[in-house]
Amino acid sequence: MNKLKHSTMVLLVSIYRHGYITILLPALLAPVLFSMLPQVFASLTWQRSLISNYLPDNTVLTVTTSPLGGDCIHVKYGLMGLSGSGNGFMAQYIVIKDISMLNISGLIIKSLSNPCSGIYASIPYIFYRDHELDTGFTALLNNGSIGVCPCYIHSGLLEDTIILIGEVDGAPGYLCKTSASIIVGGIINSLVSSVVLFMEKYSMIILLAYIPVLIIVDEKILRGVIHELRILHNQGVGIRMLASSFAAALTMLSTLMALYSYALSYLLILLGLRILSHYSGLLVFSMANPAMEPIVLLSLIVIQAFFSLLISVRGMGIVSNDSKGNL
Amino acid sequence: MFPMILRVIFRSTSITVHAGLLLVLLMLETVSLLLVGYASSVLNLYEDVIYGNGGRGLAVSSYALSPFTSVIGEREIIDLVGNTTGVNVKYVVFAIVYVDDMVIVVRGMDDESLSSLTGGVTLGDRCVFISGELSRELGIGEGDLLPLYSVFTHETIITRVCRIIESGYPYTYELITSIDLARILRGIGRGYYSIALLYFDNEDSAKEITGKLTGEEYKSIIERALIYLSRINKTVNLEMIMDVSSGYWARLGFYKDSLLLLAYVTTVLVLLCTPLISDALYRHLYTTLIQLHGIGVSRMVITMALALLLLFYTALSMLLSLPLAIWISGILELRVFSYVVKAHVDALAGIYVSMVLCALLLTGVMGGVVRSWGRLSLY
Repeated sequence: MNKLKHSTMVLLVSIYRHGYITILLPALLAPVLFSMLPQVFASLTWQRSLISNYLPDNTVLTVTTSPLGGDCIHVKYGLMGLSGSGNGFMAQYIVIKDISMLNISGLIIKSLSNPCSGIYASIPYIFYRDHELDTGFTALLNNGSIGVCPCYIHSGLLEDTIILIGEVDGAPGYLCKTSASIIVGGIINSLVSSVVLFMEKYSMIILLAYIPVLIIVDEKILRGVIHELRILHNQGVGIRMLASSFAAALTMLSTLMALYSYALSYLLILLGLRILSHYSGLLVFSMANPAMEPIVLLSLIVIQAFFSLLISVRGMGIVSNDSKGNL
Repeated sequence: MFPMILRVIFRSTSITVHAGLLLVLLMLETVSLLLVGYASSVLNLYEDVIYGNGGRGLAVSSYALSPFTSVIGEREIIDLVGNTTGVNVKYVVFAIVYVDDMVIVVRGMDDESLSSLTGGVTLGDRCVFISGELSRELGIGEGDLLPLYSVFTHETIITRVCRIIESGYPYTYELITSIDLARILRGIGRGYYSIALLYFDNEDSAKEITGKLTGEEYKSIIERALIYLSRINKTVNLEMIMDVSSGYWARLGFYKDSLLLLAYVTTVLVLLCTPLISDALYRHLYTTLIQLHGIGVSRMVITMALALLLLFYTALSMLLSLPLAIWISGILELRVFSYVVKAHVDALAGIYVSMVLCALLLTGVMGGVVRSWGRLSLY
């Protein structure tokens, strides 16, 4: 154990003294920097004031094919042909079993008591005002026509939609009650996350492209410290132990350099963002936490450990042959 | 003599080393090309969106952050065109909708443009056209209903997929519909549009319009340009920007050229490790180089042969990396709104990356050569 410690320490000092730290930096800086970019993009977004302009906090009802949040009810939806006061036009409808299912206060602004036959419905105020649809009318659906008897007028939400109450054919879907800010926030998040996902994939490609560079650097360092390895071998340190010591020393230094690159990248990016923030009025705040950044950093260290061990085994072969030659 | 030296150096190492070196350079060049290509594509996205499948002309927009948020009045365009003849105006209305966790851009076109795009099929009420790719992604087919939540009006508009069309970029990633339906989704009234495109029949009409804008004599044929309309104290001000996308980027507080420059500078950072590679090659060839020097080949000739070898590697890896970068950009999906952006890999980016790579490789080799001068060895 003492021999392992001793040889690792000797190799650590040798690598440092030969100045190989400087060649480790360019080999590690790019993968580390690119692994940080997703985080940067997630932090950088539009001006807060611009976002707040697009984030009204009012309640909205939206028809979707899959549930959006928890507050959704099953509905059917579709398009119907109508003949209003003027020419015929296309209107959209949703079908619910009971108007109370909507559970929104103030949505129904008026109850009608016209004598008409057909399926009960609530019509938007605009239809009532512009097309005089408050009396019974016939709606043309895909598979025939139905009589519709308006008994409510609604306003504020579903302003383009006729609400049919009962059993009518239509495409199955959901009517979800949510906040406009949640939807717009979701849109911004989906934009950011798709770019973050792309950057994470790109940082993985950079990591792959840098593996041969790491091998070249490891080999160069091995050749640089070959003299020290020979001395250690002559001092009685075994070949396997030498290989382990070299791998350990290189991994330790690479970890330090990766962390240094990380800090350096962080400072560079922070400085860049500050300059952007100063000149463009952008505000920087965190929106998401990409997961790939520590994984890339960890993979880099593991890859470096693996290849330094692999290279060191080759190097120990040279040392071993030299020793035999000396004998 | 020189070709022979090259051959000796080339043959002094195994094919595996050559292939390995080529592979490393190929990967680094591909990564660099992708970086520059994606930056260029994203920065030019608005231009691609406005002009669709190519074309040229003046795009007229309001003083907005993007074409999607711009609103212009027909009256302003009529005032701008005035009595000038030979000017064709095409209007487009953009809207952004939310469909099942997807943000999709809706493009409203006039009947003529729609007809030419869809092969003469006319739209009924509430009809949208969709590409095969987007329809597969949304899991819908012809005749299906498609509820669109408008980000602008916060209302859901139920539409019907009337036809699946095969259209080129950027239409592949949009929902194409009539101007009227797009207006409903955008929440604007009749007589209002997102963008107007002015096409000129002849140079004189272009001269007349640009003369009105700049107050100067028309100097060059207009390819593409953006006119910003802004209203200050009831008067409409016109501002002409020759680079369409950079106008919108500037409204966001960015200089497009600076961002592009940043991408190019970052490429240098990616390639910063290449001197290590050429240094490794130099060390690998060291014995051969000493032998060559020993038989009387001058240091200058050997260095030139090495440089030529590196140039060959750079050129070959560049030739291979261009198709590889295009292939990877097909797999590596970057989605901005509904658009899948692919890396714009062009010859200029290729030349830039090759030059940087070559310069850094030569730096590595020259480092080795200079170091060897200081040694007792002849080379």
